[in-house]
Amino acid sequence: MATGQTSALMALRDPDIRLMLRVRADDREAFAELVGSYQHRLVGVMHHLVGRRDEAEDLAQEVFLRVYRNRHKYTPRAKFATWLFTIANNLALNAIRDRKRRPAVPLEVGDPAASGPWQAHDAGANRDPPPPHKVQQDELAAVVRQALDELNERQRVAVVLNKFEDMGYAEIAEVMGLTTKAVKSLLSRARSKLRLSLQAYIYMDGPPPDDAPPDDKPD
Amino acid sequence: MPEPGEPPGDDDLTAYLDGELEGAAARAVEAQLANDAAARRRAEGLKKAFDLLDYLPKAEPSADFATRTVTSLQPAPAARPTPAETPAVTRAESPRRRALALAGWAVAAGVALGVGAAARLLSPPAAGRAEVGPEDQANDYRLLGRLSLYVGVEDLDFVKALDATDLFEPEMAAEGPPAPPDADAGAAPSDKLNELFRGYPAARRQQLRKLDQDWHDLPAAEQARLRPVLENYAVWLDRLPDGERREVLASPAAARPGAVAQLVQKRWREGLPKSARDKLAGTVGADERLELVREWKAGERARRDEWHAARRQWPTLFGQDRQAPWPFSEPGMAARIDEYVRAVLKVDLATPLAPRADLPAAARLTRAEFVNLRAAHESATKDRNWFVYGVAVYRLAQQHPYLPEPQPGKPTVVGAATLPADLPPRVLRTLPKGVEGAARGKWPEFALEVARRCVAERVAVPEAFGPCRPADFCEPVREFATAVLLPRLTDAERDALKKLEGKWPDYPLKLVALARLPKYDLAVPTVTLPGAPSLWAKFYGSTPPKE
Repeated sequence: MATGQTSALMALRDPDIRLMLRVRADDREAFAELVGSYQHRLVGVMHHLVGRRDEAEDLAQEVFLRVYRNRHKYTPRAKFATWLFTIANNLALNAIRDRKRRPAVPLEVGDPAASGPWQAHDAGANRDPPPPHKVQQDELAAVVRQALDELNERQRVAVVLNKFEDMGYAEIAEVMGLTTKAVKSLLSRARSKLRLSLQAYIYMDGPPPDDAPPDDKPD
Repeated sequence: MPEPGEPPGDDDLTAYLDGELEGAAARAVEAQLANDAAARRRAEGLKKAFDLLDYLPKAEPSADFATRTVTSLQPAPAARPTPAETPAVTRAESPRRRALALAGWAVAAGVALGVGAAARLLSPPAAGRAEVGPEDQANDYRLLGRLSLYVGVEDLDFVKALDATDLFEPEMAAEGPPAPPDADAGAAPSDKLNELFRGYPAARRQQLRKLDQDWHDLPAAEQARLRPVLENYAVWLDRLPDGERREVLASPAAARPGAVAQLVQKRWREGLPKSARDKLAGTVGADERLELVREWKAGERARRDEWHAARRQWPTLFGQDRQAPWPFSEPGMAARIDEYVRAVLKVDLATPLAPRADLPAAARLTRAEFVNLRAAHESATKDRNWFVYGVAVYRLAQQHPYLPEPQPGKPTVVGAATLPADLPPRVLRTLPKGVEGAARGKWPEFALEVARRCVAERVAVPEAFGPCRPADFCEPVREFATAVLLPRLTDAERDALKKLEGKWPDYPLKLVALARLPKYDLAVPTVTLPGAPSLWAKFYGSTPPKE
């Protein structure tokens, strides 16, 4: 099938592709629509990846600007969201790696925008697991944040896309430029790591099953 | 996946929890979970840990995120303002109207765009620039609402000339009903538009006032027809590079439609794929080039028409619960259309056709048309793709118009043996061999071919060629003509029809044309598709032709 026909068929099915084709044709209003419809998802995902809202917004903005700058190269291939999150993945990975190279200096103590690992108050560090039934929701959020930050950057991206964008393995593979098998392995290691990091909180809503082993070692 | 007999690892366990395992691999995990308590604990731990991610705070973008993002774009060459700044005056729903909103702003952007210069270019000479009287604020208020429509337009004649070129023909409004007349006129004009208008030379202001008054005085239907032309022209003009825009605006008013047409053609050629441009460059002579362009444009038009038709039928094509579109949604209509195919197109979709076998002589379709129609019919009956079948039938009905058959027992002219004896032999001799062969056996094709030769040979077409009075028609048409159509006709229409009695094919052609008039909108039984012609055109037709 000719590319033109393929594009037309995809555009028929995915309204966002139609919108992006308008952006490609230099329609700025279409770009504004695109930003409007994806801003919540993109800022949300970026926030889960980097942990700070201001940085998440900067990254999401850069994703949109890259979309606009590369609009003329856009060719509809799969879902539009897949293409968008491919750009987001590249930017987020770079941002997380950059941060690793730089010392983590908080901008200000108790920065309310901060919930990531470079925040002044590290809820997860040197913790003694508090009594599970008494963990407050915000404390739990900090612990979960810490567990997520302990994943390596690719595991984190895969988990976030899987959890919050509800992407299947094949789509994550497309976004991250990996094979589906590699994504399966990546997610498995990530989920095992999360289980270990969070095991003290897993059964806080009730007692663990009777047959739970006393010491569940890491795999 | 583990070897047979080996317990599944965490990879498979996680994939299973994510619904990504199927078949044997999924069954292996299920078996392990059923038999292995440790595996169950691990699975539960994996799931609960994943569920804890729901405790992460969800960040919402700041209220100004979208605006900041859009405004941070590099300014375009045309320095268009961002949509966030788009004034209410041109805010509208459809993409075309949104594009127009931007085009309107192109005007406001002024000299940087070269459109500011347009105001001067479009102004009459200085001699005519005397300011006339106090300005009518109310009318100006209305005018400002439409200012973006009037870019590069001097008067209504120019709009009509543009309309005649078919260059900016209206797109079908799939997103919603067309804008009502004066849709732009009620909105509050922005200060910027007001300022822009006041900055025009007095003569241009006066010219715009007259244009707006003429526009305002147009009948609503005329406004609705011309509005897309104006809108599309404004958007097209806005998207032109500055140099070309100036060129268009600087051309004299009388020559401007021609200049616009030339530029549209030029940009169309430049927009062709390289292979097409090479093919065009390789043509020998203007005729061959023209023929190629005509062929491509016809193809473009056909694709656009299909697209428009598909847009109109969107819910039936892709809706959650695909309903059969009209007319298949109405009881009995599918059967009546099948009957039309059998009785008028003269093909039997139910009977298989052997490879290489010819269609019966009476069949009015080519083999390729028949195969396509049968495939569409099969797709409709098996997969509910009624739209595709509707398009196929409608297109064939247009390509193979039919004429009423005579009363039973009277022969139809379908070959040399059935021609009236008094027809001069020279008429038949001049019939081109290929045409005669293709039409032979088919009503009314053969008779029409011979009738054309009669006209060319200045021989009167004998009455016996076909029915040309109500009483001559087969029963369904006679009944329709006498009981349905004739009583509704105006005296003038009835007289015009009466004058054609005895003339074939003029009389039946006129009868069918009268029935199809929008005010009657009638199907002629056993001749045209069942159901109102306007509905066929609406659901399956191409871009509506101009009246």
